Amino acid sequence: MIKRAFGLALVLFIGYNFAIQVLEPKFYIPQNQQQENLIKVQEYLLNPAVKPNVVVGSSVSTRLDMNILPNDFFNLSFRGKSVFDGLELIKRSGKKPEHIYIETNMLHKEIDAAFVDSGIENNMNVVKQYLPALHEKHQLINTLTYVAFAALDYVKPSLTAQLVKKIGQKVEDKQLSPNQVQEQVAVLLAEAAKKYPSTESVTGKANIKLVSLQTGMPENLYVSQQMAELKTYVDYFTNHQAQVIFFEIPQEASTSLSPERLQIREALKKAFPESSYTYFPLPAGDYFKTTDGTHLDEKSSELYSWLFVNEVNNIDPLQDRRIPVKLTVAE
Amino acid sequence: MLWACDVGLLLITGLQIYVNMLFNSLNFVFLVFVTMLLYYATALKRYQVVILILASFCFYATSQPILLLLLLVSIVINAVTSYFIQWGAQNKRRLIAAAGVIANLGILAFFKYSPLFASTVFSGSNDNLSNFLLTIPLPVGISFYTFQGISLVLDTYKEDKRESIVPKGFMEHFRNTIFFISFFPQLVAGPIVKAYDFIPQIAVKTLKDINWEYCFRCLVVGYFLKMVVADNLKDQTFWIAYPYFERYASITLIVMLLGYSMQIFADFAGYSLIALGVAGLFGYRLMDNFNFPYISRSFSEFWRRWHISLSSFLKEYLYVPLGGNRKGAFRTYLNLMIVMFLGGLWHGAAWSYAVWGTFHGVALALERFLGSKIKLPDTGLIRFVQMVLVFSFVTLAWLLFKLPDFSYAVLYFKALFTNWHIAPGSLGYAIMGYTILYSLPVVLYHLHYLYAQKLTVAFVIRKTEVALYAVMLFMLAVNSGTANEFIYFQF
Repeated sequence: MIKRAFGLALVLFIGYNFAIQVLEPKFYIPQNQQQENLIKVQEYLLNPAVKPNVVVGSSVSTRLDMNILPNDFFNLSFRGKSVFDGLELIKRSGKKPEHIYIETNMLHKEIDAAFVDSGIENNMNVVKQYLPALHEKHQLINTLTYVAFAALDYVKPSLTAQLVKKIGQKVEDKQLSPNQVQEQVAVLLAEAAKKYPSTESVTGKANIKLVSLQTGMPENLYVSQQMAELKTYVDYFTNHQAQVIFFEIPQEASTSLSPERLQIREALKKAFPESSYTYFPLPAGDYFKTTDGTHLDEKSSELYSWLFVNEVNNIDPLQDRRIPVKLTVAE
Repeated sequence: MLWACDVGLLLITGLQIYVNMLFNSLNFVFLVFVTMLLYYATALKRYQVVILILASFCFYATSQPILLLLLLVSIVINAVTSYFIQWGAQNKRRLIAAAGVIANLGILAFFKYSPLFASTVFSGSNDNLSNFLLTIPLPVGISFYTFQGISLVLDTYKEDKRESIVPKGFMEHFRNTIFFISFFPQLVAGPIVKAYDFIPQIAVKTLKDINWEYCFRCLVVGYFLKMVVADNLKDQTFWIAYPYFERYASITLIVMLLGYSMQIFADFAGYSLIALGVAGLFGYRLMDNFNFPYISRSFSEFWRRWHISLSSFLKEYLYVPLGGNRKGAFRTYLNLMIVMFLGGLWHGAAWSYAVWGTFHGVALALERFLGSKIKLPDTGLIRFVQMVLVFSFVTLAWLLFKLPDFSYAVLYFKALFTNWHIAPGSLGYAIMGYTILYSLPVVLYHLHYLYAQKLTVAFVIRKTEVALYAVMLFMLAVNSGTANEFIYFQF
């Protein structure tokens, strides 16, 4: 009985590996936050190709629309984690990106060392490179879900695309020239100015409570320690010829203008003076709407992603061709 | 002997680098594999027990090396007291037994309940004593190995069982005691093995003694329950934490709570099955710890099916000595509540666990009272309703395990009724969908037990058994959740 069970399991496993190769799932729907994070880690570590641009951040940055960001970007932001997790992963992976975009919204959060270790020091990583069935994204349930959505796609194509986009995965390429990006930004800003009254949903209230529970007013010493840690990473990457760029994603005023956020913003500018480091400007919060006080909704994510690409264009040699867009920086 | 010690030391130093050795880690598989190689090596046959002891110390030391000393202290206390109960002055047996039990309970109280004592008595104070008490570390598995120590002392004290468990030679007894208390498959989370069940099994084992099929079934089902069911459910029930749950619809909260009920079963029953399977690989048979508890039609039946080793321990060493049901109805109810209150506190040093235990104590007492007054007809519908009622109560009570802060548990309970105005949303639907999906194996596991006696079901199970185990193995490879500690490790 034991031999037959192992034999049959082996046949199933080989067959499943083969099925994945044939099926080549175009997207995956993570079952939970932890799995979504792990999939990102595996995609970054197991893929031998190095993306020259990497975004590191918290759940706030996971809302960046990967359909809008250029193809050479990898979003190494994790829900429920900090920027330090992404930075440590890049460092220990040995990959050398050219630009690292650091989100500054949640700098008070500490690294989850166990999470990073589980990604980097996984004994199975070598095996996983050869056996796709062992990849987190190819879990049997994920593959079955993919098959179900692929079938649904025949009935109602837009529904699947909408859902996948909402999860933050790439379903289409919206690669535009810098000029087109500028135009897109201008149109979306005009739209946003018209229709975003600030509201707080039930979810929003709960989330704001959560954020305040998690943060409170940090001790000055703690903030300086966080900045010192960030400095270690920034120095490491700049010594390895990478350019570091800081950006902050707009949030509701109650979060964005809270004393603890102002404290961290001030400490950041002190540790990394604007004269020596690149910062993307923080757009005025009035243009954006969040689902919970912290995370941008779909439309605002799209707007911010375009603004982000616009700023990316700004730091490359094509910057002269930009059409200036008037942005108000939040006080 | 020395050679075996060297190998053991090598194992200890080699494996200490790992912070945690979960049953579902490659490190653990490696430990079991290497230990088995040494254990069944013909040349080392005489040192089998020593090899298992060293492997057990190695297993324990990987999580908290310093607290290995405490384990050794506990072992010494129990070995010495049980030896003198058996072979010392007969007029002092009672005194020595009492001293042994008090020493065990003292260690447990100091390491497990000091923080609770400090936070209750010195609430808000910041003096040295309260700070010291609050920072005492909780040694992994202390509740389990302390109870095993008590079992050794009391079993020796009992006239009818002592002959078989304490040999005349102290060194042999000491070796047996170290092995009995530290045997790694059951060291950190049970099953709580009783001395008279385990010590008589100590003998030289050969590969022929292994019941491979039994071990295979225990290990596959155990790992499946833990890694595929419990570890996947934990990422859905994560949102029961405060204040996350406040944003979810009532229906989502209900499904998550049901999911947690399934998760805690899959986690603990899975762990126990793995322990049984691994012990079986070394030729030892541990007691079954779970017997399909969610089909129970009464609370007393539930406790005969859930964490059997603990409930039988509490019954044998606490409920019966307190008088059990021999001293009238009122004393029976009181004894039930005392036992369940203490059983609750055994789980964790927080008042919510005591409340959880008391809930069960009240339910047991009430059930006993009503059972003596009302006789219900034994129909299918009545049986089903009883099963649903017991399961619902048990599930609701698990909330205190997930939210040990009582105020949060109350808030969650309120939200179950007040969050109907919130729409589940896509995240809520996803949580519900995955929770139901991963709970299904537990439901089917229980249904299989309920209907296994029916001829057609038994026939189908027999015919598809190989395929079922193959699918479980396959799922272990391709659909395990992210590794996490066993819930009962914290106790």
